[in-house]
Amino acid sequence: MLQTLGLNSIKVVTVNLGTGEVRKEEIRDGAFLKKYIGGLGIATYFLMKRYGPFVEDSPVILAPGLLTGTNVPSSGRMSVVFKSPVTGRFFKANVGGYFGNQLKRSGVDVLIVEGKADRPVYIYTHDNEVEIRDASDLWGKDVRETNAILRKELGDDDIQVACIGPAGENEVMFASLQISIYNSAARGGIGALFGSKKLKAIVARGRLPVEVANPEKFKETVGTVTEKLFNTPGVRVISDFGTSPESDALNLITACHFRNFQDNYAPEEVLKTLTGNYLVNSGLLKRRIGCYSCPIGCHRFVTIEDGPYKGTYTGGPEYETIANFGTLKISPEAVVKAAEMCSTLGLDTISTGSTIQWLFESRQKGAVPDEMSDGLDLTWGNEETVITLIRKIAYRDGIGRILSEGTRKASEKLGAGSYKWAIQSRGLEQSAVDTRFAMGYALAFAVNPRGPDHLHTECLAEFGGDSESERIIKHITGSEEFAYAFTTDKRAEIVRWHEDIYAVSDCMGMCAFSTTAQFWMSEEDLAELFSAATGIEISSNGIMEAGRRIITLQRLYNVMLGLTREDDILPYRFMNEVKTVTIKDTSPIAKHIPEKKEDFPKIYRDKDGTIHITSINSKEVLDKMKDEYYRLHEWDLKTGWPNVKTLRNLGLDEFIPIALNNVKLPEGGEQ
Amino acid sequence: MKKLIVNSEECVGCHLCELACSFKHYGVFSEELSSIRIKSEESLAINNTFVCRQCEDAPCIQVCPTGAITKDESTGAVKIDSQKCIMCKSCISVCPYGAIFEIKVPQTSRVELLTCDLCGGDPECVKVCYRGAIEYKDVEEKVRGE
Repeated sequence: MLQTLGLNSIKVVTVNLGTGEVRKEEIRDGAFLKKYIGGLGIATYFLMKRYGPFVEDSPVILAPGLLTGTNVPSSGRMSVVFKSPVTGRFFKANVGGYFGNQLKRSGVDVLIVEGKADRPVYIYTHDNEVEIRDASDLWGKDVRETNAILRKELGDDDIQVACIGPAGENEVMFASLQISIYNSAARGGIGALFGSKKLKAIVARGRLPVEVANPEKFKETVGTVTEKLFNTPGVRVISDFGTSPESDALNLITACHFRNFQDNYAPEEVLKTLTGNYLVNSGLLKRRIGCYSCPIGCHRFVTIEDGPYKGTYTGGPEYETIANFGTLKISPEAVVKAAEMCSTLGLDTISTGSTIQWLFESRQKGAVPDEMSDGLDLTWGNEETVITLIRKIAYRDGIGRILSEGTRKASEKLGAGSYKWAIQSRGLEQSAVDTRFAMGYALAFAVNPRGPDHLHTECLAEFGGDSESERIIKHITGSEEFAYAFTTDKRAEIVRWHEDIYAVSDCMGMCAFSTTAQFWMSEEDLAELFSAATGIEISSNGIMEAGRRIITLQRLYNVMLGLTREDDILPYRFMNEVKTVTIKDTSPIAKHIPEKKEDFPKIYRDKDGTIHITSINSKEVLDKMKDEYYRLHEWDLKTGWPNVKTLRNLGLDEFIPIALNNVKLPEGGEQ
Repeated sequence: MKKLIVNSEECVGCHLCELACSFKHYGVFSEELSSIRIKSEESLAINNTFVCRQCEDAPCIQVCPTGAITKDESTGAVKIDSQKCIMCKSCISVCPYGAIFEIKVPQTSRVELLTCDLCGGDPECVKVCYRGAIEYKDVEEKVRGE
C-alpha cells in the first residue's frame, strides 16, 4: 500500500558516522510542534537539547520546512543547523533547491549526522531507508563531478545531492554545502564541518506523497497567498531581474560598496554592471531558476559564449556574489566565472569575495610583503589574480592558507592593523550592506546569532520607497514615517518583528521573499497554513511567539558560550569610520528624510536639493538601539542575556537549570 | 479546441504544476501522482515538460485493445477508463510525448494509468505558473496574443 506522509508527526533520523549506527524515532506531540513549528525551530531545539553549547564535534542537523513538499509557493527551503567552526557559536544555514523536498519525502523530517567517519562516506536516504556508503571515489571531486558520479552510480537522474567540494574537504572556514550544483547552504563553515566528518555528500530520493490534515482549508489559504504573490509588484521585479536590483536602487539603498567599503559608490560604469538588469540586457542570462515550489524563479542561469571565460556556465550570480566580487573592480564576466568556481569548489561567495577584498586593501595599504603574495599582482581590478586566489583558497595553497581561515584570523596573522578593514565581526564576513546607512540592518547584524549577515532578519522594508514597505513598517510601528533607514528610532521594533517572522519562515520552509523583503505572506497566513497542514490550531500571535522562542533559544546557546552585550557589534570600519552619502531629493526614499539635522545622523541639503547624510555605527548609536531591543525581548540590559523569567514566559523552562549551571542569568521582572 | 501550450524556456522548474495536479486529483502532493511531469536537468537549468497534447489521431486510442481510452467530446482530453484497462501499457510505449504514467494510488494497493484530463477544461497547473510557461489556449488565440 502506498503510504502517505502527514505533517503532524516528526520523523527524526540520527546517523552516527563513527559507529555506523542509524537511529529512527517519531515524535507525535502537538504541543511540541506548536512550540517549535518545524525546520529551523526543531533543529535548534535538538542542537541545544541533545548536544548543548559545549559539544566538541558538532553534529549537522538538516531540517526541511514544515510546508516543504506542499504546493505553498516558495515553501521548499531547508535549514542546516550546527555549531560553527568559524564563529564557535550557534549557526543556521538555509538553502533552497530541490533537496529539502526529496529529503522529507524519503521519510526524514530531521536528519542529524553526528560523529566522524574514518574514511570518506556519503549518506543515502530513500524510501524510509537510510544508509552510509563509501565515498572514496568521490573525495577530491568537485561539486559538478560529484553530482554526475552519484547519478551514474545510483542509476537515477532524479536523486538530489547535497555535497561539499574540495574547499570543504580542505576544511576552508567558509566552505559551503552545495545543493545540486548552484544552490548553497553557504555560511558559517558548514562545508568545513562536513569535511572534518569525512562526509562528502548526502543523497536523497523521496517519493512519499505529502498529506495535509485539512485539505479544504489548506486549499483555500494556498489560493489566497498564491493570489497575493501574483499581485505583488516586487515579485515581478525579482522574477525578471533577480536579487540584484537596478543601479538606482543599489545606490538608493546604499547597499553597494566599492573596494571593500572604502568608497561610497562604485563608479557609474561599474555600477551598471552590478545590476540584475545588466545580466538580462547583456545576454548573459539564459534562463531563470526556481527553487522547489517557488514559481518566482529569482535564481539566474548564465553562460558565457566568448572571450577569456568562454564555456563558463553557472547558476547565479546573486546580489551578494555580484556585490562582493564586482566591487573588486573586475568585469561582470569575471564575476560569473567566480560564481561558477565558488559553486563547483564549494565556497561561500560572500566570505570568499570579502576575504579577497581585504587582501587587496591590505596590499593597497602596503601591509602585504612581496614574499607573501605568491607573485600575484594584488591590485584592484586584476581579475586573473581573483580567479587564481579562489582556487588557492579552496586548496589552501600558498597565500590561500591564510585566506582560507577568513578575515578575522587572517588579519590576526598579517597584523599591520589590517583588522580595521576586515569586514567581519565574530568571525563572519558581513553581507554587502553598508549598515551606516541602514540602522535597522546595523542593529539586526549586531544581534544576529550568526554574525553580521542579512539572512536572519532582512528588514529591507526600513528603506521605504514603495507602498509595500510602508505598509509593513506601519503594521509594525504604527506609522509609515518610520520607513526611513537613517534613524535609530523604532529600529528595535522593526528588527524584532522581522526576526520573529524570519525564524518562523525558516521553520516552515518559506523563503524570505515571502515574508520579508517581499510581503505577500502575513503572520495570519502562516498561522492558517500551520493549522491546516497539521490540524493543530495556532494563532498569529502564537506564530510570532514561536519565532521569539527560537531566537531566544539561539541567544541562550551563545550566551552559555560566553556571549555578552559587548559582542553585539559590527565590523571595525562601520563602528569607527564616518561616511557620507548623497541622495537626490526626488528619490522615493527621500520622502521621510528631515530637512536638516545637526545631531545624528547629520543631514543637510544643497541648494539643488541633493541630500547629504553623514553617518557611523558607533558604539553609542548601537547601544541606544540595543537597549531598546533587549528591553523588547525582556533581556537583561547590562549583559544582553535572557532573564530567567523571560525563558519561563516563552516555555523554555527545561533549559533553565543547565543554563544556570553555566551563567548567572538574572531573575528579571523588575526592569 | 484549447490545448495546454508549454514554453519550456520560461519554465523555472518549480514543479508547482505537478503539486497542483496531484492535489486536485488525489488530495496529496506528489510529482509521481501528477499527469504533468517536469524533468529538470539542473546543471543546465533545462526543464522538459511531459504532458498529454491531445493528438488529433491519438496513437494511444488506436493501440488500446479494450477500448479503454477515449476522447472527451467537450474538452478533447484523453480519458483512460481504469475499469476497462487491462494494464498492458501499450499506450505508454506508443505515446510520442511520454505523457501516460503508471501510478500507485495512495492509501490503496491499486496501480493504474494516468494522463491529463485538462481538469475538465479548467486546468490547475496553468493557474500556478507565474511566468506563464503553461497556457491553456486555442493555438489561434495564442498566435493572436490573446
